[in-house]
Amino acid sequence: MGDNRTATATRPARPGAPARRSGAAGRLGRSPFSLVTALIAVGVLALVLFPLGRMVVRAFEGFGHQRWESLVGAPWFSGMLRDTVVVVGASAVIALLVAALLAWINERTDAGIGMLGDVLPLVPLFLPTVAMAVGWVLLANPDVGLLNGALGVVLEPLGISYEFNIFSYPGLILVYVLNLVPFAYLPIAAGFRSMDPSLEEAARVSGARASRVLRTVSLPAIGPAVLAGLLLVMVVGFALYSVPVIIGTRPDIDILAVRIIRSIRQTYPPAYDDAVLLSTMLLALLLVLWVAQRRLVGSGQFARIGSRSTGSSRIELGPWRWPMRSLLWLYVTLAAVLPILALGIVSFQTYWQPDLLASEWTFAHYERILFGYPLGQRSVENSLFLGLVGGGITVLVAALVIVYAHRRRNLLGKVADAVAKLPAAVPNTVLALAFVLALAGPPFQLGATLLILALAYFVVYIPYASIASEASVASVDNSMEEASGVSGAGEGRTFARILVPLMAPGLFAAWALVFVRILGDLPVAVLLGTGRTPVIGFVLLDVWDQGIFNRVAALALVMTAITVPVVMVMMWLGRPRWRRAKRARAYRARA
Amino acid sequence: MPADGTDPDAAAAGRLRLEINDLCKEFYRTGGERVRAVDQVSVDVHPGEILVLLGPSGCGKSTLLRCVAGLEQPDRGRMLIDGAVVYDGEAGTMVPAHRRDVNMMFQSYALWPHMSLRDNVAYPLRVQGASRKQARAKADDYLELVGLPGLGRQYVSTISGGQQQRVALARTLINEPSVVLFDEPLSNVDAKVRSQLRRELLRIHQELGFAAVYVTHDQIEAMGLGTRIAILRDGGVEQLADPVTIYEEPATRQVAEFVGEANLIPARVTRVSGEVAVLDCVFGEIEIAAARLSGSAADGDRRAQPAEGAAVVLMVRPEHCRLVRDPAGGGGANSWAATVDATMYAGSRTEYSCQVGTGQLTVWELATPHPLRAGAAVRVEIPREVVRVVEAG
Ligand SMILES: Nc1ncnc2c1ncn2[C@@H]1O[C@H](COP(=O)(O)OP(=O)(O)OP(=O)(O)O)[C@@H](O)[C@H]1O
Ligand SMILES: [Mg+2]
Repeated sequence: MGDNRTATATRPARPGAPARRSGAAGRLGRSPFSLVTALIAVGVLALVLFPLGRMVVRAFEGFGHQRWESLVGAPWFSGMLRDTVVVVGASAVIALLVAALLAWINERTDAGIGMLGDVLPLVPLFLPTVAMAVGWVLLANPDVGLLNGALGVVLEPLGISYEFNIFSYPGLILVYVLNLVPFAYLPIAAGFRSMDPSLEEAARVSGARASRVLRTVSLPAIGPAVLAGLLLVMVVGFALYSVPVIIGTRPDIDILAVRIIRSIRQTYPPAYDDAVLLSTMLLALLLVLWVAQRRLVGSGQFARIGSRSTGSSRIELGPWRWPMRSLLWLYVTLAAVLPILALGIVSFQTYWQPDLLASEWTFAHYERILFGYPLGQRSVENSLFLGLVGGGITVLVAALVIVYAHRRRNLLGKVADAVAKLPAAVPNTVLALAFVLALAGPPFQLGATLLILALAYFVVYIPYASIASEASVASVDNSMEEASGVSGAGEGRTFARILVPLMAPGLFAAWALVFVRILGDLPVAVLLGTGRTPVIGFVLLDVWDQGIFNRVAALALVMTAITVPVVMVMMWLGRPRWRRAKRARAYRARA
Repeated sequence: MPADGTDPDAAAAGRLRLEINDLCKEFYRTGGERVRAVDQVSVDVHPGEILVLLGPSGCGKSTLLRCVAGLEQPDRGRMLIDGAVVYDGEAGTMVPAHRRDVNMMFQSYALWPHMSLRDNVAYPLRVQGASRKQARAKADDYLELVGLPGLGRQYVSTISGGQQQRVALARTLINEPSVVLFDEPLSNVDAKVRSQLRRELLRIHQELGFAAVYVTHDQIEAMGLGTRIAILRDGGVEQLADPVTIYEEPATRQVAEFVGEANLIPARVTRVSGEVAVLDCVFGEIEIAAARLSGSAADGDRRAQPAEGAAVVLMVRPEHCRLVRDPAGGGGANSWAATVDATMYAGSRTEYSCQVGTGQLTVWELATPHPLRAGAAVRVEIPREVVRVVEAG
């Protein structure tokens, strides 16, 4: 405490003065707390910039254009580029349309179903992506897909023969779309929510019908939000790995993110050079998109669950109300219910077959995965540990950095803020690769440790946590903190006792999200996980490569089964205890 | 080393609770324009005193208060709380908010929704290191003091706005700070609750005797609570005096206009004969006490007596004017024939707007059972002693 005394130390402490006044005093913000925070911010900075920097340097060092030329000249290159752009582009546009429709139903029409409606389009965010992908393979595999089985029962008597085939462009795009919808939904719903309802009312009293109001008023009014959604969806789409690796490999749809990992994992000797160059390309592309996205909308556009327009100003859909409402449920059915159902069925079947009546049922796959397979149990433990502890630390650090940036508008604050959100533009694939190159070998020798996994997950998911923290910090009035300050509490105490509890709902939601993403992660797991440090994603791809679908289903379901209760507990822990009472009071006041 | 009264003898009970010397604070608006939110302010707060900062919106009251609290860093000047320097622009001293012996009550109350009322109130004690049990016991005492016994277990969202204010007050007072700061604490509740809380605040102040700086733009509140009132305008102190002086002897035209209702009458001095000065104004001739021309006694800064022919501005409170219902009666000095232009009945008084000569005069008649109609012919009279000079030269 004493070494903090700077300027006031020139004055003798007065006799009888209370301790809290005679103690430390200095220039604003030289408290131990802000020192620690600044150090952490610097640490985050180093952790994000160092590996990526090394990778980019490696991409441009030495051999000049030659490597780039040989990459671009490779026989697969143009096909890969075309496939990637077609799949991601088409998925992004379709996801945007679906998300806009869902957001409009929820926010602007009388078909919305309140809080539940807010949550439904976001459900896939809280389920492991890979589980959905595997689920769809089980559903729509050309011969043995469960949906095809069901379809056959209906169509065969009619003499029609039709089959879904997930291993196709439409199939791949379908699963991409299901995955991307939440990312477009968030900004668009926020856009609708902040739109002045009287704009629509004006159109309605002018005699326009609902569809016309949507076309001529609602959609143009949320233009910026739609554009933001499009860019966000592209960023996420280009980075998506688990969907194309599961679905795109068999029909030879060549996706950039998969190519990067393949050039290391399935090439001997590993073609690090190709991976580095491809990653650098992807990175440059996404950075452009990301900058454009930040330009167009501040992060404040992220939707907050809660405040919604009142029923009276909503568009009445009349007979269309139920069909529209069922679209919400259709989305959740396709994105969550059906795939999980398929996982459940196949994981208990002795052999995968569409005919449920003829199936034999067994627990053997679970036994095999969890107990018979040396890595199974350990991978679950590791993933749980990384998700809970690593995820928790990630969220806390993000909160600290964001609060620091929010309060101190100095250079370090701004830089830390930007850096904590920057990895949003960096695909897991690329980050994992950068970590392998920078930290696995000498001098750090972190290869095959849980630490390197934890650090990679930290960097990959800190943007999620930062964006969530930012929204929560903004929702806490400054006076909450100031009141703590004038009550005599220092910055550390104010953070722990006032800010963290008040931000808790947002922080727990972020923790849940990060947990799910870590548990369901593939690219980091594949590149940084090893036989000594297995995580679920690592084992899942291993089993997938062996081609035993029942076991893959069992493992994917285990993954999902872990996330659901954990997410629920976290949401419960983070529920704002004080808000329920408030709502009750508001009702009483109205009555 | 700055020279001021820091010798040990002054560390007695009578020591100033707060000293502000030449404090300045500027803001830069987006676009680069500079705003002097606090402009060379010097005020003191004595033990047990409530100093009210009164002024129109945007005059810098909140900024000054936040500078005292340590939530805002001033640009220049010096501040001492209970004799200890908390800010010195020259020496580069800036004691952060949590190390200053002050506490502040916010306009929005700033109660923490995640803590029970009792824990809210106990927080400043917990910060000082008191045990949870002790702190809670004292918090319960303070909740009782502010009239909320037994509500300690409730949460903020379950109590009314007026109750929230009381809790905020308890939290502000509990660690017995040298100076208590209030930023418009009563502005968020309706008039009835406000006057009740005002009385309560006075009672608690009498009981505890704390020193306070109290920001408001409500003059009734300022008059009722203030030991002294500092009128702020554009960041500077326009007048600093007790409520009676502020009302009866405003130093400037702006103070007169801002506090209460005022008739401002531009006039020109015609002659001064002994005790009485005669001036010329829109009503005709007006006589005032000659001593008034050289400023008010309480003002301190007597100005040179304006020469004959000099322009001045006179001020008369409407309740000091008299309305005589018989237009023919009266006569003599400061009595003019007038017509009632508009009448506003306000219960305890009736407010008349009168046409006198070519000028307007507002007259308040107290407790009138039969208000006059607009158009009535009357006389108005202004007693010589109630006329003040608020601007001269
Ligand atoms: N953070 C800031 N940045 C720029 N200007 C500011 C800032 N805070 C206050 N100001 C300006 O400083 C001046 C004084 O503001 P202040 O809040 O102190 O007024 P006030 O007297 O408390 O007004 P009110 O009665 O409306 O609360 C105003 O012109 C205001 O616009
Ligand atoms: Mg103010």
